[in-house]
Amino acid sequence: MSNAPSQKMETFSYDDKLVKMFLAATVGWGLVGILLGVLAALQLASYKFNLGLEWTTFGRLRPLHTNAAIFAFCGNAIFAGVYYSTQRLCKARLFNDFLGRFHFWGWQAIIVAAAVTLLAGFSQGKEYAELEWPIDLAITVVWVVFAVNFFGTLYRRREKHMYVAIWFYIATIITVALLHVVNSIEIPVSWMESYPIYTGVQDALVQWWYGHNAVAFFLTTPFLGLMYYFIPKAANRPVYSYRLSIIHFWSLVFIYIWAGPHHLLYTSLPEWAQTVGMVFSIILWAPSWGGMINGLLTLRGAWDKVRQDPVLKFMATAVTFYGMATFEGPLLSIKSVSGIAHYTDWIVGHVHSGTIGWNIMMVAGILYFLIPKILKTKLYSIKLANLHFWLTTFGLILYIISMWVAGITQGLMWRAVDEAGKLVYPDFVETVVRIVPMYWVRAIGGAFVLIGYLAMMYNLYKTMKSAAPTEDEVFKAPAITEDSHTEEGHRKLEGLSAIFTVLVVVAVLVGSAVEILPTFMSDNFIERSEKIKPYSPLELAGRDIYKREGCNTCHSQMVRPMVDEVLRYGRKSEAAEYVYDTPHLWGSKRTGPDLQRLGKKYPDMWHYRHMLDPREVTPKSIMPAYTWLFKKKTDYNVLTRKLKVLKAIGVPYTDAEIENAAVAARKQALEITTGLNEAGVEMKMKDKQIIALIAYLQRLGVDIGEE
Amino acid sequence: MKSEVLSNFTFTLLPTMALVLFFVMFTGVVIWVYRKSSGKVYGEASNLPLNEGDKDE
Repeated sequence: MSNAPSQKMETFSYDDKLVKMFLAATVGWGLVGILLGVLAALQLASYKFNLGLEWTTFGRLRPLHTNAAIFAFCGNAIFAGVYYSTQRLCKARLFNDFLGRFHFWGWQAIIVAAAVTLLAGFSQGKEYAELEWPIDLAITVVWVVFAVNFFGTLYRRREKHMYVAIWFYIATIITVALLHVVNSIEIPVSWMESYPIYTGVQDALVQWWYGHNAVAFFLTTPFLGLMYYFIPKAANRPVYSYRLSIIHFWSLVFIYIWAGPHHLLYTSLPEWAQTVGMVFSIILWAPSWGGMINGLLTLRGAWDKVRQDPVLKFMATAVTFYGMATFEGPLLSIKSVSGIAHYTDWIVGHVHSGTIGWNIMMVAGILYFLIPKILKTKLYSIKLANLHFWLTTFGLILYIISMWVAGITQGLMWRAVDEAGKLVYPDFVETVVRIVPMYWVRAIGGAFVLIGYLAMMYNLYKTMKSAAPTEDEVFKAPAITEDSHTEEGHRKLEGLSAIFTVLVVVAVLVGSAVEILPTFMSDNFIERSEKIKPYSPLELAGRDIYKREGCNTCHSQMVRPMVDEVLRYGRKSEAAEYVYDTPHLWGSKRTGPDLQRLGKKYPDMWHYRHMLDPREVTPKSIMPAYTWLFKKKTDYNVLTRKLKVLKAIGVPYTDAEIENAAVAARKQALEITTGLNEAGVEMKMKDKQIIALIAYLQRLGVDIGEE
Repeated sequence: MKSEVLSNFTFTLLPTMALVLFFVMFTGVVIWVYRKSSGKVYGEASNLPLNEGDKDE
């Protein structure tokens, strides 16, 4: 690694213009993501914030918030940090300037497309993967461009040893590509609708293999890489233990992939898969804390700097919250804890201790460090940055505590069974009313985070204004020659990025293969049931409306095998029931009750009135009204194509059923409307979406019947 | 033939194999990073972010 005096020196400069573009995008989208979060929080505290409009309703807004926060805000931050640090760690300019700009504009275009389509009501119904197939394709293309640019830079590097941050970037790029491609395999029905090729339990497993690893490899590994670069830079001291970084890197990359099933504990997922997910999630605590320890102990003996410097304040606190979240996660993955926490707000609190505590704070630290540095100026106001820090910390604490209280309260209330064996709180809405005050506290917490963020925007704006225009600095470094590849040992390994990459791929494929292959290889993976039949065309239309409106963000469709759950909802869910469900709609949250056994529980007229104004049938309901379903028409013409696609996926529709789909749907709609007509509903409503939705809701759980 | 073999494969074997594989890898990595010559390499490596490179003057 030391330069021999006879080696040829090359001059180069870094592409920092691209970094500045990504930094600007980060700051902008962060505001959007946080604003959407505060709005969503207010909507849960009071349904009135839904504004009665389809484009601002919670079901559509929630995925926009998650996509904005994860892919727009964190995404752009990752790209800014990766491009800045990789060039400098490699002592090489970015591989290709044009590819860099393609990456930038491509990503921003994807974000805009996401905003437009999600609010317009196009959604695949899969969490953190709601964007429809054309956008999925665009993401793949842009990601490949990113990969080419990154690996190309690595290939051209003048620093043979790949610093630890680079390994995390490699793992991120490879694994995100794998996750996105596999989870997004879908067959289009139209420009803005498609069905995943997976159904039921298989879809749930693939979804959460993806979903948890989106957290792992999009929100964790790139940020750990950034931490390994920026904390040493900001503190001007090397990382505490390089050995630890090697050990925890390989452990993390191997183990994380397995953790997906912890989202599916006590569901119809086969027992062995649940256990695997639980055990590996608990093991995951160790390598995660390896990262935290390394980050924090890098600052040992420099705590006075942490006290004074907002950059280090943010970074140290970010790493601390990372530690907290990666303890809470394994805790929640224990089956009995999941039994209480699943579907409650405790999970939401856990998510945000990670996303606000680790991600936002890390990004803030990087922004405060990097923007003055890249502009060759000083931060406008240390005081404002400190204020931002305290506002964020305070807001986050309000968020976490309110969600712990809400989650555990509701979880316990759902479970409460008296000595006579009856539910203490048989009305679901009682458990909601009890926690609404906590929703207000959470919204206030989010508002503090927002105000702090605005302070940051002002601070960075003033900093930018104070900067003079800069020229790219020119650096020099020796070229890598043939000789430098003859050294033995791990140095050779660390220096050979191709082999390293292959090993990362192997590591993540092991867990993926073990969990997912059985779902393809064996018909014994789940037991089938003769009683389960495919949805009728009208019911399918209704199901797709449910999916697109995001009903599954508040309602689950999975009755767990617990006493209180069977009492409240009915017979526990069997894997067989979901065999024709694509996508699965098991849900992650019960803001409202589980719906798996909803069919025929209430008359059609109840559903009609409930969707028109929930408070008419449930006075304390917090659900928004879905008035546009009474105005928009069901698309009958697409039904034939839908059934054809589903048949290709494996749903046993006959050719006659496929051809006749529109006719059958109209007939069923007429039957339902005739019944409603007796209660005063006009016959012209028969072609509206509400009728299709009612058909679907009345089918839920009907096939499997009573015990 | 292959599908018969695959369908007789008990699923519990897969996670066990993977666990063994992981444990071997983990032990291997730990032994590796503590080898005698590693100190110097890692010392230099950890200074990489702090060493911005020589400016061309």
